[in-house]
Amino acid sequence: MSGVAIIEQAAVADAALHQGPARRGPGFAVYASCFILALVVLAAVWPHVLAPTDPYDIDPTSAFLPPSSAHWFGTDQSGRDAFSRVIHGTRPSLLIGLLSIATALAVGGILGLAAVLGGRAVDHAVARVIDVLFAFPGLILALICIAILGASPVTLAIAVGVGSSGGYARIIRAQGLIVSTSGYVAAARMLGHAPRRILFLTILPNIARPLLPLFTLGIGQCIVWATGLSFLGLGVQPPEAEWGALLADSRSYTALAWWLTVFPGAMIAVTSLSLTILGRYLQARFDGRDAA
Amino acid sequence: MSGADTLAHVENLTVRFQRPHPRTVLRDISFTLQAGRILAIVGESGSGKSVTGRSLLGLAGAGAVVTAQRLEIVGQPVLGLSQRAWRRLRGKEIGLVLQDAMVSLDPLRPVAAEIGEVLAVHDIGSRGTRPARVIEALTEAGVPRPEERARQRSGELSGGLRQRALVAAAIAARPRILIADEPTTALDPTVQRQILDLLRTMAERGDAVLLITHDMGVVSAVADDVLVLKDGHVIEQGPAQDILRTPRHAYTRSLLAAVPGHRSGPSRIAETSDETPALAVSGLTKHYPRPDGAPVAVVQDISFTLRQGRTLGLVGESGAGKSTVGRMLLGMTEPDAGAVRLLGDPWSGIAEPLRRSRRAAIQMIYQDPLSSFDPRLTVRDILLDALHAAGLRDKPAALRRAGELLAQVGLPERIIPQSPRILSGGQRQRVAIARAIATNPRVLICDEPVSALDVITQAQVLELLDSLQKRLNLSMVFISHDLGVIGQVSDDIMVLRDGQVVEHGAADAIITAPKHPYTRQLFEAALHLPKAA
Amino acid sequence: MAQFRDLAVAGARRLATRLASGLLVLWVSVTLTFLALQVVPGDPVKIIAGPGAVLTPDAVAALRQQFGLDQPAVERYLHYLLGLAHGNLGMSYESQQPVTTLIFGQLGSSVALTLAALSVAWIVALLGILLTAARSPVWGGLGRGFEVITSALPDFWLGLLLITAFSFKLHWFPAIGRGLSGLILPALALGIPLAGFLGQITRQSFEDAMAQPFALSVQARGASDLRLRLRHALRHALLPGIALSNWSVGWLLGASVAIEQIFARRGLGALILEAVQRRDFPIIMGSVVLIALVYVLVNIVTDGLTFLVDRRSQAGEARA
Repeated sequence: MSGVAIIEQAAVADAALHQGPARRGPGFAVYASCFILALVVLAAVWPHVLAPTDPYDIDPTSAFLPPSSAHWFGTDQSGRDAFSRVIHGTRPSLLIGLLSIATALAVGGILGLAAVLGGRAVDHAVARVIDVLFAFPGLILALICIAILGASPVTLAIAVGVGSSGGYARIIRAQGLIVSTSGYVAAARMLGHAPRRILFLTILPNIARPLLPLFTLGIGQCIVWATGLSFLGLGVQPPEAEWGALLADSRSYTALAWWLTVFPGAMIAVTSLSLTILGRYLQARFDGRDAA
Repeated sequence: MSGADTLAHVENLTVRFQRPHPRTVLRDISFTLQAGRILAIVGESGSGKSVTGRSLLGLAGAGAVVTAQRLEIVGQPVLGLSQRAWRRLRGKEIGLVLQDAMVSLDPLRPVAAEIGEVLAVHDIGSRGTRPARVIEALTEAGVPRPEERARQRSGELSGGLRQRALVAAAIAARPRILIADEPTTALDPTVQRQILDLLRTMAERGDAVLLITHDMGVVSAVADDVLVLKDGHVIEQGPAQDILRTPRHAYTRSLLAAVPGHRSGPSRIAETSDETPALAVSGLTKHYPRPDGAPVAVVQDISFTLRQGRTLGLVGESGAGKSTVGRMLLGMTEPDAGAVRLLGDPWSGIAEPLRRSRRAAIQMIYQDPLSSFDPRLTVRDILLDALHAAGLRDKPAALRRAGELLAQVGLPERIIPQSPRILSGGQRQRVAIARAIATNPRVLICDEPVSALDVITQAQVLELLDSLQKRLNLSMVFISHDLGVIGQVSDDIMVLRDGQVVEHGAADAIITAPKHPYTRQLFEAALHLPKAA
Repeated sequence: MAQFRDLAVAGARRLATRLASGLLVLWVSVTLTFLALQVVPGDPVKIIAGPGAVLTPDAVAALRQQFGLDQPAVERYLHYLLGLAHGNLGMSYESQQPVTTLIFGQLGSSVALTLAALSVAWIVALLGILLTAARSPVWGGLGRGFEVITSALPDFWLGLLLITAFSFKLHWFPAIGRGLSGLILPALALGIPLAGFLGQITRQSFEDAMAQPFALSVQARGASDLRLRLRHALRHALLPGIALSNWSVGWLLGASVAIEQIFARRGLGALILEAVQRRDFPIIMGSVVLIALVYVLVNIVTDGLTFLVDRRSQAGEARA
């Protein structure tokens, strides 16, 4: 089971690695993604710069206005400016995504490294836990975590992190096995280096090497999952401005005001897409160093 | 040259590629393929030899522009042929045999399906009669028990059977022309010999064979005519005997000289001394468990003494246990029985921390140096890391020493900030050698160090190892499947088969008068050049 | 004949391995969930009785006894495992019905949706591969772009867009997911992002196969490009996609939680969501068991499909 599955997992993570020739410069899509991500970060840090209108400012006289020059994304049932709400929703969405991926990497890293460095018995035991984490659909695992921890933005982030940690644990364990049986670790041993030096200067840096692109790809995935759970009412609650909560809020008026559905979702999609493109590009660059 | 016997006519063939950047890979090549004759196209990688063969199939590659004054196959002009018309020729009039059938046969389909495909595509025979023809083709290709083999997939066959199955697929539709592109590269010598004999048989039956190779030994074994190609240009062309005996061009001479075992080998100084041996090995044995748990001896009772400054050649076909011996000599694998002594002191069976402090004295050179370099490191980091292991911790001094090491292995200093990834195969091997000698070792274990290199690079690396050995008084264990290489570098030779010593003695004695039949068989399979006139 | 016997033996051994590893996954996941549920704050009796209910101490004790909550944790754990062995997963706190009944009630709807979404995903992914993989850079770029974009699409947003466009504006499909026509939109919402993922990995091995020397061998036999793609490269492309079936089914199950809400469908996703919202722990435990069983089942199906496409590994095992 595990040997095959590690390769499968690697296949998922590496899916984009070999696309096109290696060491291609960043194309238009990568620059566009960076630009969009810069805007997203700006919206998260200084939302008022982009959207001066108060996102909680109620004006019943201008409810359900379609997009116009005054209200770019239209207005909602209480006449709040949808553009402003989407922009102000960036911060919680992004923070939850970052906390999730940090949790995922921490849990995955601890399990994966324990398996690699802990010797045969530990590896066997940890491998079973990783198997279970991986056998469970991530979102369902996140749901179970929420059932245990209760629904709040912080527990949501932790739940999503735990839900996606199985994949990271597997990748780190697989990478660890590849590195520790690699020719260059054998070469370092043959040179007579001390085990401690080999661990810190050769094994650990090479395990960590593919993590930056995974981190980038992972934030996108976590944002999608977390907003999805918020949409189901398990994280941030309306009227709080958060992308998932905005979508949940819009559900009652889907037939009436399409713009309330389209724009918050588009923000999630565009952010996740940009992170994916950037992550893929980083992966290809790392891979280029590997295979060129 | 009667026209009836000319199966292919090529005049001024030129191939250009538009992508990724416009370049001409083949310029004005002319030759004919005659029934009953084997034409060998010889060149290093990138010489355009493969493109030549593929142009005859209309498969020169995406974005290739093929022009020629005349390009005829079995009397039919093929320039500007439609894909549909090309497909009628491929397989039926011309067969193609590629290197390494492991990847040249679809690994997911049984051999019979692969061979039958060419019949089905050309509507040869019927559903009922094709299986019989498949078996027949396998028989013609010299596959024993063809019915059983036909049901297997390429991964289940041995290298030799696989290559024969590939030949069977190429000849199933009885094409008159066979193109064999490096058909024996990476095969053990005995298997190589069998495949070459098979090509000879095809030619004697009246087919024309175009043999593409980098190996002058292969040329001398079977070719009637030779065309030497370099950078897309013809260097020399003519009957094989003339070119092998009296090469006119310097490049041809360098190709001939690069064939291992046919250079004037290094003069071996036999200075006997009573100093401690570099390695003393007695009764070395190693078992590995089979999948069902039963232990199998991969190395059995091997003993030898390696004197300082000498080279022991370990030769054998794949699976003979050579690399396991190498790992035990390096102290990376503990023997189950027997002992290794390094420079007089125990080396096997001691605690790793103790061994670690002496590892600098014995270093290794690999077949694939790239996998032995930390992918994050540049040449400079690699050398500094090795010097750190050797105790040189002062950075300016270490950098100076790194520069010296590069000079010693014949590398320019400008490559020091580069990653080994962007270096050529020969340069990478030189970096690996520089790393190995950085610790001032007494012993070098070389595991197939030149098998992955072009012939000319191979000769250069062997020369480098030889000069380093003399200068640094290194003792070497040289592991290889290639008798030519072993014969050239070794003072003593040990022949291994299935983990056991078949023959062991002075190199001269074994080469001139092998005693054991297996050794003789290995020598007979090895390819020899005719003596230069 | 001997070959078939070898294959049968290898198949049986493989099946046994799968079942054993599945049992292990089942046991570890049930145990981990059980442990996790022990640390949950709050009294299950409150959940059983419903919010705002005022119970006499006698009633509380009765409920405790009815749900076995009066026993120590170790005993409840062993009791649960024993029940599990007999196919008894306990009673729901909320509806006080057997968990197995509740789960079986939702199974049909979920299986239909999963199969429909898987079909959509495979058809879209394979069409994309056959049309665009290993062709000109322009086509390849289009195919890849489609895959990256669809795989980044949040499925629930896609569901909302589809229902807005095709149910509320165009009235082509019902907004409530019943019957065959009600299956189409949710299957698209789940299948299209999955097609993006599947497309990426199958494209990779398709292009790898097309770049292998054997592709040249096939062409040199006079085979057409279409034959090379359909009979050779496609087989290679299927393998990593099939190997990920377990991941795919799990992904669909997770994503269906939101999709079932959007299209007002019943199903396992909806059941799990309600159980989480109401903290109906027996149902959550039951879902964990169900997922572990699905995992085993899908693994076995995956093995079978892999065998149909690639008989190498099994033959190898038969020999060894």
